[in-house]
Amino acid sequence: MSHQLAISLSNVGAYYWRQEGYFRRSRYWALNNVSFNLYHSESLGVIGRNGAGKSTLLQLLAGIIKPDRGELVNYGVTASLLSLQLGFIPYLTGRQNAYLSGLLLGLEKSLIAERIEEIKAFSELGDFFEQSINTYSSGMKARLGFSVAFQLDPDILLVDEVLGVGDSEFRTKSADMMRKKIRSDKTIVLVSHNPLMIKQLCDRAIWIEKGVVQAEGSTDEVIRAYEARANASK
Amino acid sequence: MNLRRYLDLIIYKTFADLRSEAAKTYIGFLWWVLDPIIFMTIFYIVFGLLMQRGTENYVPFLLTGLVAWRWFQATIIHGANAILAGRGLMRQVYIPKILFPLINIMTDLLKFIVVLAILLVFLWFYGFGINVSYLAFPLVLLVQFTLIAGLTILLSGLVPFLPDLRLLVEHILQLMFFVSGIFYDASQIPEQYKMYFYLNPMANIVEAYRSILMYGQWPDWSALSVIF
Repeated sequence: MSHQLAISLSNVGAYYWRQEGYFRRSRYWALNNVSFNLYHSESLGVIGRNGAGKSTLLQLLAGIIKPDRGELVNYGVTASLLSLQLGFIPYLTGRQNAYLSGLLLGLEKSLIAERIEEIKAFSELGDFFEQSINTYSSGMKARLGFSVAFQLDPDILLVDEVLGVGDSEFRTKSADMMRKKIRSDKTIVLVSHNPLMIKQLCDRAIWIEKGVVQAEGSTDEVIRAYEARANASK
Repeated sequence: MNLRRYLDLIIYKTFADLRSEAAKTYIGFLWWVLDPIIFMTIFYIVFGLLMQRGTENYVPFLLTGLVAWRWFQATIIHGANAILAGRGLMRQVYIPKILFPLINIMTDLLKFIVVLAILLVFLWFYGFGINVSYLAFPLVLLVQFTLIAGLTILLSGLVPFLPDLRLLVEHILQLMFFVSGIFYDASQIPEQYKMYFYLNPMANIVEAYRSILMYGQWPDWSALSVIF
């Protein structure tokens, strides 16, 4: 495993405006002070409770928002969020939605055309692929979303708790696909509040609470610290 | 390379939105045509029949004005909200924000083209033939398009910061509708207010439509060039 830097964050913070009555709003720092390095081909787990700033962190890494303080340096890598069912429109067919979602995710139209049969096969939708997605069950929609999103191949894949969609058979298939990506040379950032998932999939982890990094290190250490705190506050 | 991708996205999303809009109703695409016709019928009943304010050839007069106006109004109302409505997508992928109003401008442009084609056919049947001043029509459309696109993009950028603006815009549009000479002719306005009437770009554009399509006259170039 190489230890080339992919993205580094130093003292990064990001805020949102919070409305407080008429004409008054205050800054809410979703991320307060976060510093860590992300290396090539590692899989980093980010653990934290709801509202800890995990999703904001992913948006920063993906370049969707910019840090309001501190510094984020991207060493020439592309990073994108694994977004399922991005931009799906209910009245269009599976095929049309696959195109639309793919374009939104940043795929070239010619590439989607090349892979469309592959998408159809992976989604196991069969004839439903040509039907309006109104007629889909939520599991079928999830399968389509997953099949499209997995065509995307950025340097860094940012995953926000999406494992386990569809029925158990498809869930195994998608989790396998995920693991394959993780074990390959791909750089992954996986965000979760489920310690087990991080333990299974990541080599390194950080724990974020209230917008601040609480612990960083090997997965086992970080999870132990996280669980100790969780038990203590019970 | 990116530009090409964004262009593909705009085009695909435009058609996807139109298709989905049509699929939501039983008669689908027909609504684009029916919508202005119903709108026109209402104004015809009120101003043409009940108040007897109609001028000569009131139906084509009204229809021409309304078609021009509806394009303006629809694009601005839809487009002003575009960036705000796209916030779900923006949180997940990086997309240049300007794409959202552009997609709205495109969908409304295509709808307008359909309606305009029907208006032209209607006018020909009504006896207003094609004349040499039609040559100026693309230019009038271009002026209007520039006006619409500029306002829409500006508003779509402001609305996320000032959501209240959207409600204000609806009222301003309402006012503009009444002062743009859509259901009355500029000649009915008292002389001392005429100057102010022509400060409204839509009033000039509506007039340009009529002089070309109905009266076979060249439009007022100076007014159009100022808008541009």
